[in-house]
This record gives sequence, structure tokens and C-alpha cells, in this order.
Amino acid sequence: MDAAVCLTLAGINLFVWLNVRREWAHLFFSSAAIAAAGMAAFELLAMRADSIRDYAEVVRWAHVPFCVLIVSVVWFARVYMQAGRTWLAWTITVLRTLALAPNFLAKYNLNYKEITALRQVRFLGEDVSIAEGVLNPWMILGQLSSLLLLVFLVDASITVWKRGERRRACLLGGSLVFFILLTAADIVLVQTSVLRLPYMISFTFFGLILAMAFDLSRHVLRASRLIRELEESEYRMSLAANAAKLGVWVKDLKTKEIWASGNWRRLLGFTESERLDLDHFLKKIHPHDRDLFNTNLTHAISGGGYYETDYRVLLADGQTRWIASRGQVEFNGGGKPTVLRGVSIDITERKQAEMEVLQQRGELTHLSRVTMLGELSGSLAHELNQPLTAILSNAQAAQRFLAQDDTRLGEVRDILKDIVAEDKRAGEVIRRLRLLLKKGELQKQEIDVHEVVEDVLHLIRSDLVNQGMTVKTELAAMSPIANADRVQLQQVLLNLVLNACDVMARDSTSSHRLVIGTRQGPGEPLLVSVSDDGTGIAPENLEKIFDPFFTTKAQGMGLGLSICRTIITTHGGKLWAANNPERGATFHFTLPAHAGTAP
Amino acid sequence: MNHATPTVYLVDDDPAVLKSLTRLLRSARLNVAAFDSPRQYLDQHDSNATGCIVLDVAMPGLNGLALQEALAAKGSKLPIIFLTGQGDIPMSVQAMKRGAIDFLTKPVNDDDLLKAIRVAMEEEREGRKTRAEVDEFKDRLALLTPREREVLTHVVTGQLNKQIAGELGTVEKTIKVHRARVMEKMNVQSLAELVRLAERAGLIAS
Repeated sequence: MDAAVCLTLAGINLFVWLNVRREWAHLFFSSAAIAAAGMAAFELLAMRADSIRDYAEVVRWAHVPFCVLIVSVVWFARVYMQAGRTWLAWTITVLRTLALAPNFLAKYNLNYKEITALRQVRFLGEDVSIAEGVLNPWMILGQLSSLLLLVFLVDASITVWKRGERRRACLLGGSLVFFILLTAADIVLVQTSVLRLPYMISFTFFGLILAMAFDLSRHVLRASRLIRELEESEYRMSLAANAAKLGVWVKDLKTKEIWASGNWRRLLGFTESERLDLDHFLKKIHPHDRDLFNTNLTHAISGGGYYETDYRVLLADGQTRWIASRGQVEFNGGGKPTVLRGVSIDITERKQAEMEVLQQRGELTHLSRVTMLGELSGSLAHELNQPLTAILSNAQAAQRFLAQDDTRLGEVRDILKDIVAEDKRAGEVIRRLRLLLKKGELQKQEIDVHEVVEDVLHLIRSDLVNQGMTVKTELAAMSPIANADRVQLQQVLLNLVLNACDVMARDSTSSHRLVIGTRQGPGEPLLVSVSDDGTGIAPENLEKIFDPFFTTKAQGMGLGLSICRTIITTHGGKLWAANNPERGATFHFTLPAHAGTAP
Repeated sequence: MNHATPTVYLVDDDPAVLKSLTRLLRSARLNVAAFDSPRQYLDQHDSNATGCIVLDVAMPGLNGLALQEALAAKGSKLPIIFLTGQGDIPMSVQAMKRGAIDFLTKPVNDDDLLKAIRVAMEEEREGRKTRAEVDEFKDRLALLTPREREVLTHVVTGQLNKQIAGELGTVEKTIKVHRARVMEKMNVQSLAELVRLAERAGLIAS
């Protein structure tokens, strides 16, 4: 009966293992169960043996299931409880297998060197055979392996106990130890003829199998509970995903197929039944965003693991929708990416708001620039007047020369050359002006910062002259290159210079000297400074001056410095103010080191 | 430069403007001396120079008005024409008050500039001539005897010989002789001329 139970259990678990190859515990359990069933059969045969020869042969062959069972129990415990020392498990395995050699080489078997007689005893109302004889000294191998098995199991149980799984340590570990002890005791007692009974190892093995089966069934029960929990969790997840309008997707990186939730399909404009794959999906992405999308995807798959990208999708009605997508790559044991899972969400509204903010900021920046140029109009008129004066006077001189009899052609030629040069100069002023007046998006490019300083000084030259300001430049030896928007950088410098002039003009004790400096160490950010020697800034205002609408000027809007800070921050730099040790204040700003900058 | 030749002294810190104005004035057959720094002009200023000055208002270091003041302090009699980028009214008023001939805005038309220069030159020449006459008059005054000098002061106030004789306690005939001597020594042809010169020399209130 117990053999039948064992075989049934063995069958079930073998089936489980065949389905889920990773569940090695089920394989070891089923091999142990089959071995236990085999053991029962051999015991029955031994009881029925009517010659010494038959009895010895039966016992000899019984060692095979015995060995299988011991080895299975060891590895079951190792794999299932995830405890016990591996080297000990191997020692037991080898020792027990080695014991098979003397078993099959001996005249009788591992147990008996010689069997002297078969005796009939009464057991459970039946006559059964038991042996009498001389014990085989090789038997020590078997006993040693049983002893090591005990040690192994006790050690594994302690580990499990320490891990906090006390119930499992007691029930599974304890019963395994108990039944192994019982088995060993039974063998020793029967062989030393203290117990005049047949071997009853199959009963203790049955107990062993039941203990293992009980724990495994708890495992199965837990699995079914897990399934319920999983279903619940999935339900909650989809509820949350739907509420948050999240689209969930899974990309199989091998087949390139995509599974996606209904929400995701709706977000991307796919129908409910449409088959999805990567190529199909890529076609939906706005052509401008495709490259970035691919770059991010490749990065995640090639080891980054995390995937994050924003892209636009083109919808059937010609509209575009902004999608934010976040995901995680799953790698197999060999480190190969297998699956990419993630969520996507519609961020069109947020993007539109961002665009609006950006546009408003751009407009404000432009407005501030135009206001600043208004302040400079006198200076700009002068800058234009100079070349125009030169052109007019040159031209009229030429007319006079030509009207005279002694026409000096050489002189006229020189005049024409100068007119062309002056016209270009006027054009240059207009170009600078138009650049600053232009409303445009941020355009970062490699620019020479010293050129920007020069441009700004040109623009306000006559203003500085009229106010009696002198400018000193302390520029770095090498022209620093920055990746920046030329116009916005000019705007910042212009603003700082105008502020400095304003401060100094209001202070009669100032020497009206302005210093513009640039400095850059190798690999360091570029530092640009504008110093005045006015009254300085009250310490409590050093930060406040960058707040919008904070102003100390009678006619100031209080936006200039706040916009300057925004511009510099957008460029990845910092803008701050500090008072000079002697007098006046200095405004500093940094721009990140550019790869092309010579050290 | 020979100060006998009237010259236009051009001062502008912008080399291109300076060059073009120089050409324009040369094309009008004027003598030109160009300076791109007000300081440099001030340093070499010769009080005997003749002609006029054309001055840019907005210059670094020393602006046009400051230069005007500094030249006045040095006793320069050269008339000044200002050129300015912006038509700054308060500034032009100040400049004119200090005796500027004209205040022209850039870009300046050739006729306007040349006319202003002509006026300035004329004025300067007139001034110079007057100054020379007065100087000569004063030199000649030293040649007179005290008695003749007494007679002169009475003559230029328009008194008749008889009246003068009465006041000085002598006869009309003697006054007549003195008077002829004075006219001769002062190298004047008429009483009107004598009065005019005496007026300029500050002998009588004008």
C-alpha cells in the first residue's frame, strides 16, 4: 500500500518537474519516492526468501534503491530547503555510491560477509525469513554515509532555523532526521539480531516520503495562494494603470513582438486586435524622434537596463501626441536581454504647457533685450552716424575732386575704397543690432566668448564714452570657446555692463572704471567677470537682486538679472554677484568647459 | 605749420571720419591739420595759429566741450565749429554760449560745413585784423607826448578845438598843431578812424 502511495506521489512530482525544469526538488522527491517503493518491494521479497542465496541476492539489490533514496534525500534537502553544505552533500553522494562496489563484489552483500542460516519468525501473523550470519566490515561505509547524512540534515535544519523558518526547520528537518535515525537504528538492531524481526526500512522511508510530501504540498498550496494573490495584484495593477491612464507593454526582444494593454493601444492609435511588433510601432513614432528613441532603446538593451524616453506619435487624424515611456530590461542568466517591460503615458498637455513656458520665457528674454537696446539707442545712433558721416564726406569730397580740372583719380579710388569699408562698418552695426532685436529660439553653437565681449563693447562704445567710463579687459590668453547662444550671451554681458555703468554713474566717488575678465583653467568651466567700483551691493541683497521685479533703479523693471540668470542656467552655468574687497561689486558667470577649448 | 596760412584744425577720435573730413576740406582747397585725439591737439596748440577748429563732441578722455574750455584757458582765439552725433540741445546751447560758431550734426553736409568754416575763418580774420590794428594803435600811442595824448583824449570824445583849448588853457591854434601831430603819429586819415581805433583800444567807452 505504501509503495503505491509512493509511486503516485512520485508520478505527480515527476510530472511537475517535467513541466518546470527549474523545480529540481520535485525530481529528487520523485526519485526518493520511487526508491522507497522499490525498497518496500525488496523487503517483501526478502521476507519471502526461502534460501540463503535468494535472501542475500534480494538484500544486495535492495542497496540500489537505498542508495538512490539517500542521495535523493540529500539533494532534496539541499535544493528544497536551500541549506546544508554542498561539499558534505557530495561526500555523502560519493560515499553511498562507492558502497555499492563492495556490495556487488562481496559474496553475499554489503550487510553480511556470511549468512549462516535463514530463520523463520512470526511477523504480523505471517512466517517471514530473517538472516543470521557474520557482518560485512565494509558495512561501515554505509553507516558512515548515514551518519554524515544525519550531520548534513541537522546542519541544514539549523541554517533554516536561523533563517527564521523555524516551523519548516522543525517539521521537515526534524522529521527527516527522525526517520533517518529510525532507519539506521532499525538496520543496526536487525543485523545485530537484537530485534528478531525483518527489515522495516520501507516504513521509515515511507515516513520520510510523507514528511517530504507534506512540505511539498504546502509548497503547492502556497503556489495556488500565490496565483490568487497574483490575480488580485494584477487586477489592482490594471485598475491603477487604467485610473492613471497608463499603457502597459511588454516587448519580446527575441521575436520583436509586443504585447500591450488596451490603454497602450489606444494611446498609440492601434486597434484592439492589431498584431504589434517593433517595426510596426516605430512607424507610429514621429520621424524626428525615431533616432532618439532607437538610441535610448539600444542603450537599455546593451546593458543600461533602464529605459526612459519621450516621443511623439503621429495619429491617424494628423494630430501628434506626446508619450513618455519608462521601462526595464530583463536579462537572462547569460546576461542576454530577453524582455523589455514598461509603461507609457500621454504627456501632451504637460509638453504643451512646457512649450508655452518656454515661449513666454523666450518672449520675456527678447523683451528685456529690446528694452536694453532702447537704453542704448543714443549709442547705437552714434555708432551708425560715424560710418555714415565718413561715407557722406568721402563721397562729397570725391564729387568736388571730379569737378575740379586736375582730377586726382588715385585719390578718388582711395575714397571709393574707404566708402565701401565704411558702408560695411555700418552694415556690421546693423547686423549686431538686428541680431539682438531678432526673436528666435535658443541656438547653441560653438562661439568665441572673446568675440562676444568685443561685440558688446562695440555696441555700447559711445555710451561708455559719453558717460566717461573706461573699460579694461583682462582676457584669458586663449580664446575660450563655449557652446552657447551668441545673442543670449551678448544679452547677459550687455546687461551686466549696463548695470555696472549705471551703478558707477550714480556714485560720484567712483573712478568709472569697468573691468571685464575671462579665465579658464584646463578642463575647468569658463569664468566671465564684470567688475565695477561703485557702491557695492548690500549683503542681504546679493541673492535678491536675481529675483524677478527686484530693482534698485528708479526706472528699472527688475527683470534683467533674473533673465540673465535663467539664460546662464539654461546654458549649464551659474551667475552670482559678490562685493569686491576694496569697493564695488563683481558679477561672475560660468559656462561649462567645452571639448574644443584648448588648455 | 606756418601760422600765417589759415588752417582748419580737425579733431575727431574716429580715424575714418577724420580722414573723410580731411579729404572734404582739402577738396575745398583748405589747409587742414588732423588730430585723432583732443589731448594731442591741446598739447601742440599754438596760440599764434590762424584759422578755425572743427571739433567732435563725443570723444573719450576729453570731450569737445572740455577741450573748448581748455583752449580758452590757453588764450586761444580760434573759433570752434562743433560736430555731434546726437542733436543734444543743452550741450549745443552751452557750446554756443562759450562762443562756438556753429553746432552741426553728423553726417554733415559739405556745404553746411564749408559755409560754417568760411564764416569762422572770416570772423577769425576780422578779429585778427582788429587785434593787429589795435596793437598798432597802442604802439603809436606810446609815441605821443603827454600833451598830445591829452589832446587825443579830448578829440576822440568829439570836442571842438576851441573847447579843448579852453579846457587846457591854451589857444585854439596850438591845439590845431597838436591835433595834426596826433593824426600824423597815429597814422590815421580821418577823425572817424581815430575814434574807431580809440574805441577798440578801450580808450573810450563804446
